[in-house]
Amino acid sequence: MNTGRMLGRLICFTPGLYALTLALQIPRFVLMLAPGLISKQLFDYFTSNANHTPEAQRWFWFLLALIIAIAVIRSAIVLSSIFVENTAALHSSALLRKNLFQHLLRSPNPNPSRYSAGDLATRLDQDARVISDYLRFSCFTMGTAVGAATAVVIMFRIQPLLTVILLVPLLATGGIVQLAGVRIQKLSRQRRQTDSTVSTFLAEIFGAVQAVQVNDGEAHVVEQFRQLNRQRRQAALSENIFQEVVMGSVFDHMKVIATGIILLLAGQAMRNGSFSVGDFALFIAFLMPVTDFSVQLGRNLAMYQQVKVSWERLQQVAHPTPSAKLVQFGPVYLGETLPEMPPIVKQAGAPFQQLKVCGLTYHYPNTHHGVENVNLQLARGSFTVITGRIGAGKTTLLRALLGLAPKLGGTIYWNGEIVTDPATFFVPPRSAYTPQTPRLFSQTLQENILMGLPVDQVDLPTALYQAVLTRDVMELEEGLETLVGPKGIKLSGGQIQRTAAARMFVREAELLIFDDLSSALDVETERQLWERLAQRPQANSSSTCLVVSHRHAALRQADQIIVLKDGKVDDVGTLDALLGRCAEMQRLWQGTP
Amino acid sequence: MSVSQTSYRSILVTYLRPQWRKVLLLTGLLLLNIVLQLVNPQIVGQFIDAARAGATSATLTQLALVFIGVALLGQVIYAAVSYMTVAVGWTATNALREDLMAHCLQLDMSFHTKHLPGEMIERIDGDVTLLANFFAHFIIRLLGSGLLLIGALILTTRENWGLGLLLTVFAIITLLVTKTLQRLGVPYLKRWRQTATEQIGFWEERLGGLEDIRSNGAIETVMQQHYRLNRSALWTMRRAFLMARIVFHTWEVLDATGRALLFAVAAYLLNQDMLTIGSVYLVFYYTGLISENLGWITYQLEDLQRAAAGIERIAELYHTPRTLMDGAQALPNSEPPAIAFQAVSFGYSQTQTVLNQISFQLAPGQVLGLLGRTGSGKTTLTRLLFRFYDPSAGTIYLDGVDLHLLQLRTLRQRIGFVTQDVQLFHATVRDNLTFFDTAIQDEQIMQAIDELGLQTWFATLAAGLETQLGPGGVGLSGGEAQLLAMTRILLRQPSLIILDEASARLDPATEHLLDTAIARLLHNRTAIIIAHRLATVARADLLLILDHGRVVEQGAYNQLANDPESHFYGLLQTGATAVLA
Repeated sequence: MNTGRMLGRLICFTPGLYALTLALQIPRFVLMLAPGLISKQLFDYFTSNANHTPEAQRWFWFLLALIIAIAVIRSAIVLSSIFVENTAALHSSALLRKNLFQHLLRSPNPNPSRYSAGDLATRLDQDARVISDYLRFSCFTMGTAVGAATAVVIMFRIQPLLTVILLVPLLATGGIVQLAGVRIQKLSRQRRQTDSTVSTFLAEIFGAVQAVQVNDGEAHVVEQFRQLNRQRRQAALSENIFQEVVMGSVFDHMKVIATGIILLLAGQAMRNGSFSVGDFALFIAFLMPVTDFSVQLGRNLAMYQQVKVSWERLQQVAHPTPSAKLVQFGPVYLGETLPEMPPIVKQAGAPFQQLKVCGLTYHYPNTHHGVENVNLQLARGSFTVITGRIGAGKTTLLRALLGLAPKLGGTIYWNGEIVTDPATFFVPPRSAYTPQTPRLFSQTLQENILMGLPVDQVDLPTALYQAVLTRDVMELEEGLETLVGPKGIKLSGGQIQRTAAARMFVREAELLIFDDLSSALDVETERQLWERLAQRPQANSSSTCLVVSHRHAALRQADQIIVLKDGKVDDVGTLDALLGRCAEMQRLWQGTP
Repeated sequence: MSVSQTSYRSILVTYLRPQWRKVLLLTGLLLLNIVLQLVNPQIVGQFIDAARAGATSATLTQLALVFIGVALLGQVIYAAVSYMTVAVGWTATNALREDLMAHCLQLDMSFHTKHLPGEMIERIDGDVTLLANFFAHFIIRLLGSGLLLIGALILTTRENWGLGLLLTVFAIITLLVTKTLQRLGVPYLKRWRQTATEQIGFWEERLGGLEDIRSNGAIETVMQQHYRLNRSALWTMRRAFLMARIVFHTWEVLDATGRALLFAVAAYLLNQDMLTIGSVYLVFYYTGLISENLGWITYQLEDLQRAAAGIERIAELYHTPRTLMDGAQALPNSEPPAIAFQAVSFGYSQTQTVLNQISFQLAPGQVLGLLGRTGSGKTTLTRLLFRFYDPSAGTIYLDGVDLHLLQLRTLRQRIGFVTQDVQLFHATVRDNLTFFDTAIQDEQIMQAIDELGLQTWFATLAAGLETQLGPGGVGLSGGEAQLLAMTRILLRQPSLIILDEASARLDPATEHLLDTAIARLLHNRTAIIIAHRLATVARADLLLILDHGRVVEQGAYNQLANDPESHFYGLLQTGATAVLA
């Protein structure tokens, strides 16, 4: 979708608000002409010979009162228009943000390695704002256009020839600005790129601040930051030369040239009295709104180039989804009540019987890392362990299965039916997942576990018990109400992982998927976790487990073990069988190279 | 306001001083530009009087051309001023950004646990960018306008002292009123910035945890939070903009009143033949100039308000004290140190106890094996030694010196710490290893990699040291991240090693490879290891078993392993290859 159509869609989203914004801009700028007109009347009064008559005197005082009255009225109009235009612009940015954010959350093709979360957040914030600000600014520009047109009509009626001559440099301005547009777009893109680099760097470094401190890296990190800053300054200066210095001066030149023209041409007329001092004052006063219009128009065109850049940046991260989705209408909940949460579904379709994966393949972009042609089968109530040495592709296998990494080949069957979109399919109540390094959010412990489930409809104590978290919660000063800090930093690694496990248990999914709990759990805690899982109450015993682990406790409990080696399935079987025949399994079990 | 005024001034002075030559040149050009702007209306005034007095066309054309020449020169100078201001502003604010970053990197974990990386973007970059606009506009607009204003007042007074006085009083009243109103706007703008910051932090954090959200079916909840934040952004932004606008329009009404008064007085003076019509026009022109510049000033005060909110937050960040006091004593040598804990207690908050009366001694070059359940306080103990936090009671000694007395930097330089959760960032493997230290040669890195036995793994990297890691280290498995962390440590050659569950993420086969490397790493170094496997524990000279923050058992490895009464003996007997503690 091109930029123009996108803007059109955004206007159509809140047509009333934009119409009102526009309607308020017209008196806002037309009233700006009043002081010039009144000054003309006053100068004409001063130079007139009949200014002592009572009528003239009354007229004079009326004009003075009018100056003040118009200022008051105009202020009221501007304040209302500020209110309306901000509301309109916020609806537009809210729509863009909602659609993009929702898309990023739901996208079947997540591409986390290309754009950092910091970069995405910047795009959501700034690029959406650039676009909505442009809409607001456009209404503003149209207001100045009406103001300028009115001024030109008045000037034309006083001195047609002079007015026409004055319009020439003003019209030329628009052309010059158009020509410069391409260059501005390029410079602006470069500058925004450096902005992004700086924010990404900040986010990454402060995300790893402990590592920086632990490794005494502060000075070098700051040095690197200085390099990035230097590049950004250069980009900002290049953009500034063009946008402010070259373009800015063009407009100011026009104003100066126009005043010069008036002086050169009006001298004769002034001497013979056909062009009064009042007319002169009016012409000079009206240069301001007219040049203002061309300045605004020029800025508007320049801003339009920035909007194109921003729109491109938003489309980039939404790729390959059609960009029309980003401006799809829907409630943005700025005023209306928030949407009802969907009711909890405890059962989606027929009970789980079997999961079958055939030929699953995934490679990380531009690497040989990944999994190749993996087959596996899980029956209801079974406990399957995926094991293998580091880099064997265990996590990748889970991610490709769950649709968190887009599989490049293979078919997934759930109860014999093909799963077309794993990313939306493998969610509670069908399945739940604990990643190797789970992310918690800066909320309370309970909010992190529930993630929106109503507390009265779930069995939180049991989930805590199964995740071996009950004692930790009791020991925390504020229990479940403890704020866990960014990424859960106030908890230990093991607590974070067990919180994630509780988050999974509370969802009572049919298929539970764990990625390597041992990364932060000690052996005893992990053993307890498996034990409690096996002892789940009868009602839940149907749950099926798919686990990445190399711990003996997990391997012993497994109904089947899948040994991965270099991204391929090396062997499948029970522990005893594999220990008998699989060299890789023996190595992993004994811990020898 | 007085606080932030000192802040403005101190920030201006600190960051402009290094560029004083440029600032001086800038000021000179700015003054010249102002003089030209003030001269031009005089020409117009003469032009009007001359035209009405019936001067020749030649004289009028001459005056018009002089006007154009002066105006164009003004334009060129203005362009130069504008460019230089931005250049100076960026240099100054970049320096400020760097100082802020350096300061924040110094702050301890109690600060970083409260502030999201997204928030740090907003505070180090967002707020400072507001300040950059302030630098750019403050000098050209605010300072320039102020000087122009004063010049115009002086020249008006020259035409007629009464009018000059009237305009001066008017200007002063306008400034006082707008300044008072301006103060009212700051809290609203601050709140708006705050919600904007929260929103970015929210997006950054959620987008970083996409997989968790998606696989737990929490998309709708997160969207709801998004809507809620967006709504509060609407309210705070609209209110902030309105408040700021009220200032501007108070000026507009005041300005209209001033002009009306001026015309009334001018009418009287004209009547008394105390002014020519050319002078009235000149005064009218200057009034416009004064008014326009007062407008600019109040308009810029809007920016200034935003910058004020920014500066307040910058100052707040800048003055966030480190909760840990730095010591003065440097560590005497690079020999492996002795460590002693004497009745050390600690809690992350007042009422909670994580460590309770811990005491032990570790001789130079010895290895302490730390065992205990998750949450028993092992990690906390190592954090105290690294001085991420200070004990609430008791003392820690390094080579017999109280940890408090040591320079934090030298202390931390001597400690190599492999944390539980390896933190990586979006950069090359080399940068992740060296933290951008260009002094570290590739050979050194390769040597460290060889020493750890990682050559084969290293060969699988697409571009060797140049391989880009994704954001947060995406592209590496948990185990591989641990290997990188070990390499980081080796590069720094510390004399004390802390391994916090360092081997926990490795599969047994890879772990075995590391065993030799760990042995080499520990050679002639003091070490504290948090471990789960017997193989690692076997390396320890001393064992410490923690439970609920208390020492439940401690002693030499051999002594405990051979004492049938000990807890550790029981563990060994269960025959597990891993330690159950």
